[in-house]
Amino acid sequence: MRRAAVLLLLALALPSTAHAIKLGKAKPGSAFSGGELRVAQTLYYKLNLQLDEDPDDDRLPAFPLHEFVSRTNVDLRVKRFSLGAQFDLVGVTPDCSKDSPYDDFGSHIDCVRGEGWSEEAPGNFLARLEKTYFRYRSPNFDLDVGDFYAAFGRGLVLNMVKLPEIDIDTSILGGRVDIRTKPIDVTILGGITNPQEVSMELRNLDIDKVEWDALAGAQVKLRPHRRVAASIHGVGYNLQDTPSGSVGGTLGWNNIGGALDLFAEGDAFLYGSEDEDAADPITPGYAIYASGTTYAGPLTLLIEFKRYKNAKLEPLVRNGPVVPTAFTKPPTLEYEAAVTDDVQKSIDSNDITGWRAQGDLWFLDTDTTLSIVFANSFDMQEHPGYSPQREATIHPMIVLEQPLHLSETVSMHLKGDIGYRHDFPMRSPDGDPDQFLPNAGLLHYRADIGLTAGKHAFEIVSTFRRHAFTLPEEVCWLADGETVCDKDDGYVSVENAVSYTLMGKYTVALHLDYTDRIQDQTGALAGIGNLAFDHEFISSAYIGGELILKPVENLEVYVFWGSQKSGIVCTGGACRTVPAFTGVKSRVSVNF
Amino acid sequence: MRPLLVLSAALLLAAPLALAEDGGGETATDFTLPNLDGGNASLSEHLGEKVILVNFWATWCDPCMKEMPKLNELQQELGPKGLQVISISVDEAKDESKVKALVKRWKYEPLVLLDSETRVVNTYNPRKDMPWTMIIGKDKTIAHKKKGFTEGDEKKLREWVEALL
Repeated sequence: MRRAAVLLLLALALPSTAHAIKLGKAKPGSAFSGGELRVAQTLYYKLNLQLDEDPDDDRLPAFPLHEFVSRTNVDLRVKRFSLGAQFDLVGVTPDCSKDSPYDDFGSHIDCVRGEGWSEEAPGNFLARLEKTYFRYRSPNFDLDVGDFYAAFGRGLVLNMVKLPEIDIDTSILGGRVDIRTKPIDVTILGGITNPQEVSMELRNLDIDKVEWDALAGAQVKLRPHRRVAASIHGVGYNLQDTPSGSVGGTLGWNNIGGALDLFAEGDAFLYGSEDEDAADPITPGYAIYASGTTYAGPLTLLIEFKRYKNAKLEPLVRNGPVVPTAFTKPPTLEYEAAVTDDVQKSIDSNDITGWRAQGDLWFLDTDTTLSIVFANSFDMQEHPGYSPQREATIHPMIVLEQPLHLSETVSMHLKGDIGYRHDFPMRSPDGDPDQFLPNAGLLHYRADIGLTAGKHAFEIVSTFRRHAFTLPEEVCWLADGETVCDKDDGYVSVENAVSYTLMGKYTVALHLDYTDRIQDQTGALAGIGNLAFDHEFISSAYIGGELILKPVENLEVYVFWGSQKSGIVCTGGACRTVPAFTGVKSRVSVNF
Repeated sequence: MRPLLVLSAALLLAAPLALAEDGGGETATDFTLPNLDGGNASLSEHLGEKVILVNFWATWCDPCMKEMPKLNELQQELGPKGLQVISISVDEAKDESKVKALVKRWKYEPLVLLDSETRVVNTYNPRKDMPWTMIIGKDKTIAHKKKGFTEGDEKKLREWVEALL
């Protein structure tokens, strides 16, 4: 099988082309002349080498995991028609479908799958036809058959789009028609969910074919006036044989007085049940979102409001980390840079009212931008493990951005923000008093300093978060033989990155991170991390280095060495959840 | 296992050495997207008549924020000579209210379209690298593609556009 994998990978790679192949010149009356065949080939090799953090214990580190991923995209375009497919091959060593090589403590955790997997472990070779499509595009009419993406309104009722920065690529496999006329646009779609299973980032050892969900929807957009746009939409879902549906509409009024935009969306949510006699059916819900933007000279002011009640179709993450499917993604009203895993629950709440105001003041002479943000919400849902009571939240922030042009070739870009989020508890009438947290706070800042001199670019990014909360009762422990009691608890999370980039050639980055949060240290998020190790052996400081080589445009070599804590990491404006890891990671990516 | 690694490494290192930053001779495919006022706009409205610079960006992308004022200058200076800059926001639907606020703040003149459904970015830039730029000549072929932006890159963009005007 391994030999077959090698031959297949080579066979796919060798005939690849960097250019589109012209299928003859366009001739009037000829259906296929003037077409183009494009083949895009990406090869990925990943090595995850785990280090032994405590050589004195009997426990062995995870075995090295090699992965070779080949992704082939083929696209045939003839005039307004496209026909294409994405085909993925994965070679994994060692073969985890067999007995673990380290089974002194039972099967090694990397080879253990929890309950609920619909397939056996994939062995050392798998092939997936991930995406297929037939498309027609014109100014007034679009047709999609096969895989496509879709979003209605502000994403409250439907938002199935490609999000490669967080490794989500779930399309709808079915059909979609878009008809556009001057006053009315109509979209009709239907199909089943088709999550991309082969991952370039996460280990494919956990790959699993999930069961599909079905959905169908329609949207009609109206433009009764050139500054007014309205729409009505509806989506029906069949989530694991549980039907649900949502209907709603939007209204937008632009350029009022040349300085004001208004937008509003309202949706209703109905939930069925597979069991008609269910004792506790889900209560119907609703969602309201509104925004107003005014732009007067150097000042831009954005005000948003939301009210969500049972309005969220739970994102489904089934059987492992590889295939998350998010059906909707409503506005959160939080400043993204400050969102962390502990506040995610409350902004995703199913019973929340909130508003946010952001004022941006742009000083043209100095090119300075000053932003002041204030968010306020009332979360009436309890989130055990994160915020076990109802709470009111305030979150003020200040953001400052300043580009500096020092000379013809030297420039700096400074950006920083600082904010504080405080959660005021509201005790639930029937809540568990032992779970009540009197107060919780989050102090955070981020500084980004960039310096560019000719072909050389330096950047320092520093992020600090201090979470604090007061426990309902004192907790006591022994320290140096004495009993110490305290009600205050919390944790610190710090990320620092220093990087140097020679334009287009290579990037060297050094990460200095720290946390005293136990969940981050032990890798509770699963993945490649040190899940088998006792957390007492894992230090709180994390030092890691990255090297990214890009000798030519389409080849990238990436090596990481050191420690990495689990959690949400934001770099370059994109955030992703990373597993705890200590060791060496490398990948080679080639695009033909 | 070793033969697999050796073969793979040789293949990876040897194959792409001749690749360059050109557009690969690809013909631009038409698309239609919503604009900021609730209407629609198509690439074909300018295709073949103007040199078109298509730029994918997002409000959360810091390099995009550095590049967009440069694109605004390009549109102002070279627009009368036949350049059309089309800036496609790939912000998610939940963030659309932020897009226009930013565009208004900068007094941004290029055509701004919304691809919150990722339908167009998936065709041209499926890895969703941000920012990402392509320049389409009057012959409707993609002459250049470019990922990322650092200070000074605007000179290269200008050279590419002026050569096609």
